[in-house]
Amino acid sequence: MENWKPLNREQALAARDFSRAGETFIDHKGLLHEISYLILTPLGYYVIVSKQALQHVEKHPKAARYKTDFPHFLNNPDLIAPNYEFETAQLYYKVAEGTLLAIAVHQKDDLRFVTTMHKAPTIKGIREKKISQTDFLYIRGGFKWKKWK
Amino acid sequence: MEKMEIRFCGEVIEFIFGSSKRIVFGDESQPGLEIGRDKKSQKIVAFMCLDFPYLYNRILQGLKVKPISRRFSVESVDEGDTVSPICDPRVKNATLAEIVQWVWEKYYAHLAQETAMEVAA
Repeated sequence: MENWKPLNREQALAARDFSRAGETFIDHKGLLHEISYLILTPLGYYVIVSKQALQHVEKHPKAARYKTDFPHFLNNPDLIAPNYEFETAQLYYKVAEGTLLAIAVHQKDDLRFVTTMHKAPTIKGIREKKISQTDFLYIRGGFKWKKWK
Repeated sequence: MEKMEIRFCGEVIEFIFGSSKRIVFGDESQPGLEIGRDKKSQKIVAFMCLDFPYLYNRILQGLKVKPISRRFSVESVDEGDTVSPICDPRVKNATLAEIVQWVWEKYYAHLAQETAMEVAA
């Protein structure tokens, strides 16, 4: 496992890994993605942020405000939870300016990549009792997750 | 009947039929779908699926149990770098279930077939 440590916004921006920038991969739909950068997450793996994911987020003006915060949100999320509806995706949560933002990270083969970021009212699956605290993959120390259930 | 734009980003699909300026997507127990509400008015303005190839069947089954009665007209499909106008009568004045079926057939079914053939080979 890589040596992860939580970084602040500026440190996370500086920690972006551009070594694979410009490389491409095909997602499940057959869409070509061009890698912008990778960032190390608390789960010990790198997540790809592609140009296509950034373009997609831009279409949601409120979420797009935080587009440049992807490195920080992925490196230092408040919570990482599985999406109970399918196994190969995880949701990274971060509270910014009193708003809960969810970043969807998918996996295909050995690649993990961001697909979208959106505002969310709650942590998916908690209210419906589809997941519980024991399913969380990571919680930042001090994060009051019950506020978002 | 409401005008709809469909947006793809990989396996994520958004069905947008209202202002997308302040959508909050939440789980409201509609299988396979996140419900997008306008933050101020709380009106439903979008649906989103976080993994359409995997959840397609679950969405259709969920819509049988919890149908969405509104009807939509798909005006365009945004595939990231291209936005294509849609003139297909199958997705004019259509239910969400009909639109989901159409998306699967038009954009994903051939990929599923290719994958099955690769596995068989």
